[in-house]
Amino acid sequence: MSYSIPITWSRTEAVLSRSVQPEKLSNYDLVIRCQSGLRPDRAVFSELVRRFQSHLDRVLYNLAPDWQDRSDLAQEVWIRVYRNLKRLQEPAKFQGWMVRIATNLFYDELRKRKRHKSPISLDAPLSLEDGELGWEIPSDEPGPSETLGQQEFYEQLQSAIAHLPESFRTTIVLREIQGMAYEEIAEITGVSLGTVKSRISRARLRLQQQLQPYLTD
Amino acid sequence: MNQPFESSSSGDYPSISSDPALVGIQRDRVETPHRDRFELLSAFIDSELSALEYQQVEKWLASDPTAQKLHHQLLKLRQGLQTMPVPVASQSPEQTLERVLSRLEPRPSFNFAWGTAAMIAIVTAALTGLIPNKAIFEVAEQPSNVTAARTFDSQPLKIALDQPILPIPSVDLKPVGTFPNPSSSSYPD
Repeated sequence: MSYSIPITWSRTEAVLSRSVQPEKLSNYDLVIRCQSGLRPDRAVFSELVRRFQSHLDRVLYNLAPDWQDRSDLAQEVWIRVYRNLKRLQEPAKFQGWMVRIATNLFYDELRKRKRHKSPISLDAPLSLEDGELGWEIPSDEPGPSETLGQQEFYEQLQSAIAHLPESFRTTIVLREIQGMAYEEIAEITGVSLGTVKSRISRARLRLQQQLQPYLTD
Repeated sequence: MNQPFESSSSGDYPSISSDPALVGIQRDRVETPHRDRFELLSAFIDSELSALEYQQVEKWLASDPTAQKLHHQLLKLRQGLQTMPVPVASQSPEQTLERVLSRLEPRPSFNFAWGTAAMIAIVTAALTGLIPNKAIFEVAEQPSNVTAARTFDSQPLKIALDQPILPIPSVDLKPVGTFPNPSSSSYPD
């Protein structure tokens, strides 16, 4: 004779999920586990940080390559993630949500720094209010030889991005590295959709010009 | 807008970057049509065009080798941006985690710890009688006579169990059956 114990599937799933070590959980289940309880469980939250820290570093580096205190910004992102994770409606979109927090924090910090910025030197590149991007005369230096590897391409790309005017750099990073739609970028950066479209196009044009030897097969 | 890429005033599209004479000097005349087309192609790879614009760019790509080359370069640029390694962060995930957790669960400060210990000591002392309650709560001075009365009242009541509380009068006891005769003269008439 067999007996069956009435138990709902969600309860079974929750019990099973709790018995699994955080390292063995999928990203989705990890976020779900962090959302259960009043505050995220310490061990589970730690695993979340370990998994997504490198992506966060990447985002912050591309947004602010010349900031020395990016690790402080990263800490602040994780504090906000910890405190607000329960509000995330779709756990599958955790990474995008975290990047959004990072971008908003970056912009808050950028505005603060701009307020305290010293007057620009006359030697600095000209930058108009709408973020006008000037044209650069190509360097006279010889182009890369056939033997130059991917590493050099990446170094040149990093340098080219870091030298883009700030408004162009953040816009192209939000689009290409964070995969945001133009509308989202417009909302975060506080400019029109047309300006976003134009900035992305001109940033690409600048990068394409500077890196053309590496982009040609 | 329906112009093909090669019909621009400067000839081949990528020539802006390769011809220094065009940079800045003929900018107003040459750059705008280039920029419009480049912007369309840029939005095309981001899937941010209207249906009509999308069809237009597809036509260019189908018929214009320069547009095809540029499209290919932009896709390669995108791939580079997405796969580009970044310098190793100055702080490891474990260090970040440690600092984040220490901020989320702050340890009690030195002063707070001493304050708490002092409060516990006072409460413990009060409960175990080390500190007389009167000394804590009594404010007014007590008159000396009241103190004396309280001292008297506070003496314990002693009862001797082998002695009666009140003196009991003594009675002569006679044997049963030897009652005196009522006719006898022992009682006055």
